[in-house]
Amino acid sequence: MQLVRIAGPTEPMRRLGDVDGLQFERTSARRLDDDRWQVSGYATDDALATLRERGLEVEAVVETAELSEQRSTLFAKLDDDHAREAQE
Amino acid sequence: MAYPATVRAIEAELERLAADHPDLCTRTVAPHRSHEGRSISYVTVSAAEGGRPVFLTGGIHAREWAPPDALLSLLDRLLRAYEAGSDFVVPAFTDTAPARDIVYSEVTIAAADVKRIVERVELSVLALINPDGRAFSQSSAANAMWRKNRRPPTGAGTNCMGVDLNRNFDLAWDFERYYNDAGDAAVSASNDPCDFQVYVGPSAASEPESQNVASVLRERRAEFYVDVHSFSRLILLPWGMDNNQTRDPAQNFRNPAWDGRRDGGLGGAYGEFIPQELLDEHTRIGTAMHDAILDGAGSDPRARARSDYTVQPGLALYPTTGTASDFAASLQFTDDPPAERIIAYTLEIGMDTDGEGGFQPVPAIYPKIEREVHLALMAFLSAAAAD
Repeated sequence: MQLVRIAGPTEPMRRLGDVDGLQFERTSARRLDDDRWQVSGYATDDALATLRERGLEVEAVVETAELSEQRSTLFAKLDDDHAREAQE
Repeated sequence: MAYPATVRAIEAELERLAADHPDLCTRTVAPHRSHEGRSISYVTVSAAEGGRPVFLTGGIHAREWAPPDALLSLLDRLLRAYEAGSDFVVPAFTDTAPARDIVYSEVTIAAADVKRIVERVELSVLALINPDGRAFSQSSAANAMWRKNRRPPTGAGTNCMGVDLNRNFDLAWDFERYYNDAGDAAVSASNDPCDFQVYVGPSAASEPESQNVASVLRERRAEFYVDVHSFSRLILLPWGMDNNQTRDPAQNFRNPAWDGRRDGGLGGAYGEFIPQELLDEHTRIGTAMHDAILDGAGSDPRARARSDYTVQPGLALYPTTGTASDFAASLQFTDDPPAERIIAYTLEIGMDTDGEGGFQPVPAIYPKIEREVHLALMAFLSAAAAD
């Protein structure tokens, strides 16, 4: 999974909701010009392939390895907290 | 309470705030438990009778981890500053990530302003609307992107769980009746329980978590409301259903004559009516929130570029229905007896870029996100405490 920015014409960008494996943030939509928009979201490899098949531009903001490292940092803290809470 | 907080830590912090500030802070258990049986509570800060009712919420979307934490630390700082008669201080923060080293300035909000806020406002904060969803999202990295609540599967033929609480409120909830085919295709809402993001639920306000929010809005008769989300550096004002217009009051969400004819902002004949005075007031207060974040960044141009939020209506590319903030705003047109003027926003904190981590910032950058919540909401509370 990667955090990506997706750009393309209005019509296919409005149909991002039907891309399996894409968790996009609706409010991130920004108009680039009259008929082009940009949206940010988290995409699996399959979702990235679908987006490219639809002719949309995809730019990685956080690559898979970095995202995994961020998750590891967050879950290390949460796992410690959950373990401590389980003992209370 | 260290970020990211567990569900249990959030509940414990609410209890602690009420216990440590018994003359100022009251904890109330919301009327509805979550589907998994969790008790949901909120606190109300009030130093005097008759304060203007303000309501702040967070954590409606499970995967957005920073808003509940930042709301609780806001309460902690506000209460301690008021009781000590001291300034509200947002500490300086240095983003020490490699190649950045960006300094965000310390910000001081005067003790007199803190006093005015606490004594003129009745502030209710429901920091975590959706505890089941957060618990699931924090249960493993594989579940981290979970957004909805944890409603069990609804009926035969589906094993899919969860409702998007921010599509479940009773405002144009039945979006297929509301829009024409083009609007229906564009709307960010779904009747499919297996939609991972925006399933609207089996009926309007079907969910205990959205019922809790509606209950507090109505019982407290909130006149100022902010629902804190992440991400996108946005301050969103009403409406999200269609383009705003100030000319024709008959074009409004209550008017069935427009059912099936609204296109969701594609440039057709319909626009959602908002009175000019109400739009102006939303713009004025939203701009004050924007300025508080931007001015609080200090003089480093890189810090300022990363602290420049946009104030805009909820509608951009995707129309939305049944959201908490639009529902809150709608009550001034639908409630019986009529509600007072209601100012309502969705605050989208943080960013996907600049190392801010999108839905889940890492602890090292969290103070930057937290300070933006505090600065924006202190400006919002100052506006509520005025006049």
